[in-house]
Amino acid sequence: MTDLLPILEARNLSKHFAARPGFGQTATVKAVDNVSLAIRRGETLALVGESGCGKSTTGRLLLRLIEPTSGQVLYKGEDLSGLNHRAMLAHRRDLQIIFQDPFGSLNPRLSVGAIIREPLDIHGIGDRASRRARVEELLRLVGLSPQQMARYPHEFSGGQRQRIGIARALALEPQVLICDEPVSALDVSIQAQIINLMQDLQQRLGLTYLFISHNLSVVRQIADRVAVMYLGQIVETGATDDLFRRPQHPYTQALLSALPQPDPDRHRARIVLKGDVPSPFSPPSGCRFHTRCPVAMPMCSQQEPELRLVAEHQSAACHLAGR
Amino acid sequence: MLKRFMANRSFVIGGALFVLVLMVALLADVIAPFDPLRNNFRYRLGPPNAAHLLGTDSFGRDVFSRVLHGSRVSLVIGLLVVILTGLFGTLIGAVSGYVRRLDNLIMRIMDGFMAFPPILLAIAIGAVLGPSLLNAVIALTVAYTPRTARIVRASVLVVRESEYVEAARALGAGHIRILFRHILLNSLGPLLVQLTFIFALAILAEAVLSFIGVGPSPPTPTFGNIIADGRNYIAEAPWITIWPGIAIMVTVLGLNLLGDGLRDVLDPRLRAEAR
Repeated sequence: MTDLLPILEARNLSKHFAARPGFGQTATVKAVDNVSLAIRRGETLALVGESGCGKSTTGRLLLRLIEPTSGQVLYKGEDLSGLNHRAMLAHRRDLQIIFQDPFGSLNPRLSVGAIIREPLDIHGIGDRASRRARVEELLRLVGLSPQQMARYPHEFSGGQRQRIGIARALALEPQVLICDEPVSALDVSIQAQIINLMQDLQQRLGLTYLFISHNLSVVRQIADRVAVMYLGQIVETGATDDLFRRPQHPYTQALLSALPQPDPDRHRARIVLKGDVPSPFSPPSGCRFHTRCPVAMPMCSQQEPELRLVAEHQSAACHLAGR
Repeated sequence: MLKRFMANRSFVIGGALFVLVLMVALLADVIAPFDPLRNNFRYRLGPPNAAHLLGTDSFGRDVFSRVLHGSRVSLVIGLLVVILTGLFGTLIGAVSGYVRRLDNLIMRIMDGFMAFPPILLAIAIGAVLGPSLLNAVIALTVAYTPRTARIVRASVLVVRESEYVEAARALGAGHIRILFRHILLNSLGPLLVQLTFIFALAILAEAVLSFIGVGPSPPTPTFGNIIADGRNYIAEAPWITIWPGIAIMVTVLGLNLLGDGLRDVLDPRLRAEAR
């Protein structure tokens, strides 16, 4: 089912933000630091990590919604980095995004029909009648009624609004969808509906997902592969089953130990991390995780571990992994 | 939405007062018993009576008719100032908020204008240009545009960071589409509120300009001109100055209440609570 050639690839992508932490001081935050990712056609790659680790920034870099400080984004082998607005427009049809906040991602002053029709307007697809027909089709596709076209976003519930956002993203028949925490703002029961809808759409339309999330239960259900981020870097990647069964990086192990167990008789040792996430203004030397790592060694504070293959289809950035 | 407006007392009272003033101005020809420019030297500085409801001024002109027609001129000036300020303020504010490279330059220029009290700036410009209706409008527009630009810029800065703007960029929307359809469409609330206040300020400022003789030149009736005519006779014939003063007060009060009401109903924080 999955093609081995990546459809969307990040190569050594970095994004540094200039910030002023105090009066007269300047500092750079390495929000995304040297991240490489490859998403294969038809798969779902989950990008997980705690708040502020750079997941969303990575997603936006892939769409060139923000410009990277360095590194490349390749779509089907073509470098998107240098393209101007016009050249990028053609690729925008293939690369779309679903947002986290179903209240903030829809223009409150436009009707739902106008919101979903906008991508067709921008790209000049079809005439009035065919655009209208397409909007109706899209509403049906995401489980809404075409009669709701003339209504405004505030008349819908969170789950319905997320469906509207999905319909808008699908209007251009994209190949890749970046899903930025698409269900974390929704009630649990609604989350399941949206996840089911997304899986159903993936099968019917052959979509590729980059699924950004901090919810490991959801990730386990939807993802083929997982990449774990910590402080702007990827610390581990692997096939979902392998990674959940045999996490190699101590950070991944700690994350997974926090998952609730459905079996009350099985107890797994909970790894509780000490301290807070270090300030991204001055990330720790060596391995960025060494300040909180339960198994840190002296070398960890000096030498930065590289992401390397530790098992079949599984890589980790830890000196100890696989040894 | 309409229900929320109707439940707001300031909006209803302010709206009613403003509509009243508007009707009076529109129907001035029908209501006014005399020609506002016609002299009557047999009844100069006459106190109010059955024929002259609000008395007459030093030329024997009917004060009631002059106030009615004066409201017309004052409202036209206010309306023109609102339209022009809204237009230029939106343009400058939108460019400043959206094109970040120009922001500092544009806003420092606006700060320069705002360093002067607007009324002094308007007087200075009016004095340079000479007394006429058009020049008063120009002077007041220059004086109030920086404020409007600042308000528009502030809302553009907020709205441009919203996810629906990001969504539009992801869809490949151009700057014009993003600016007008997504950003400005959602910045209209604060602008509308500001414009009702500017309407009120412009009417007040027009009175000041006319009073000191840099507004539309006499004998054109405006609130300011009528008051200026009456100031020498304030002891013998106070009705000449009192009634246009009350007319200004009612108009400005109506507009301010209307603006307060609009602000309360359109305030996004209140709206968030209601949701």
